[in-house]
Amino acid sequence: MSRVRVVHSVTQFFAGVGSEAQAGAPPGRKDGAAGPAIALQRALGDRGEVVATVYCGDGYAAEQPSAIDEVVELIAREKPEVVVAGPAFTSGRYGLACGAVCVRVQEKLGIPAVTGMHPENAGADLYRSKVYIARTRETTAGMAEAIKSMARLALKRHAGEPLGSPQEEGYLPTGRRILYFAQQNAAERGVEMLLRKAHGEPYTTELPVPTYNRVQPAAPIKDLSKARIALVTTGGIVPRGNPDRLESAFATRWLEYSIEATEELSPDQWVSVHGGFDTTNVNLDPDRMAPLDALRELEKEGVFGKLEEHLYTTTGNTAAIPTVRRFAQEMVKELKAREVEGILLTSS
Amino acid sequence: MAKEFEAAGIPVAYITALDALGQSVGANRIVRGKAITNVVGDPNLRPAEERKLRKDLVRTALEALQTPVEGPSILA
Repeated sequence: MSRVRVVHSVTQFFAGVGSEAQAGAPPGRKDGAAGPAIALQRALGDRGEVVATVYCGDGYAAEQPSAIDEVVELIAREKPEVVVAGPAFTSGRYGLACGAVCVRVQEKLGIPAVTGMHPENAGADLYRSKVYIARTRETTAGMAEAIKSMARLALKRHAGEPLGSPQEEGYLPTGRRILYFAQQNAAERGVEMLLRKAHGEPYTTELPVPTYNRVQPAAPIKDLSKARIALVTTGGIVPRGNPDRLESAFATRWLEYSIEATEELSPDQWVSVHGGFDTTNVNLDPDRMAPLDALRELEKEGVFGKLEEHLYTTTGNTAAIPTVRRFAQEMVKELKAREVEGILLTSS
Repeated sequence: MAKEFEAAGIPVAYITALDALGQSVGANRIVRGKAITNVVGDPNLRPAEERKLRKDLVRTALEALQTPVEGPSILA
């Protein structure tokens, strides 16, 4: 049996080309296996051969528009049958580069590519539906097992063998739904899980609830009666006609509109373009989503100091978490410049 | 978004009908809204009553901004 030709794509650091300070390093290659590719070669055994290690600095990959094409060009020259990238663990920049390389390899070279990341890597959210991503630990302490997972996935993908469930195979769920006939219906399976849980026995959920990181609560406002408050909504409220084309789902932007001297959000002038719920009630009275009328009353009564003169808005449904995080970071710059001390955020 | 704002040091009162979701995601100051389709309103009420409901919800949220919390909390 001939050995599968594998190219391993890594950040320059793992290829032994300088430290984080050399993150601007352009793409390059080394013959055979270098760095973690040595472990990859061991995991592939006699079924595959790492013919080259291709590397690129994460900074270069993030900043040079041509970087991914350059990396894929280097990979293509090796005539691989499968490409392995990373693992990136929780490194967001590296994860984004790995995901981009894998997608481009699959599209341009028509061969499978796999990578590895921790589920909270920003690249995981963006690429899990396009590329098989082995689930890794947070740090390089998980290198050995990550490499083994990636090697196994790479060989299976190359052989065209169907993959089992994400839990069985150790990859991040791709979002694909695979229909199958279960022996028991959902109610029976649910009750069985509940009984196992009640008896303290192990069970496997069919739909894991994601866990999210925590942030330290901000200190409370000391004197609300003097504080400047901003109104932010993810309810898709925009001026009628949606002049800036806010999306009804998968938002790519946030917008701000002046509400200076506006007493309420009249349905003649404002509308929700949110595509994730029935907007009938909100569109009869947009204050039901962004309560400007109530804020104006409370402002007049002196409950708080002043309402910031813009409505900050986007659409919350199905937005990717890294994108929404960026929206908030961009808004923070504006809000701080406008001396906002507290935010009222509304969503559906 | 609530978490990013708080991480930047600006307290956020988050009104949502999906308060349990807000809590599991990690928003720190949550106020339970009326319903998904009208988070700060209720079309079944008379206009004056609805305005009062909205004002009460917003007042609760503003007060939440003055409230010290240790972690994700539902404040009404």
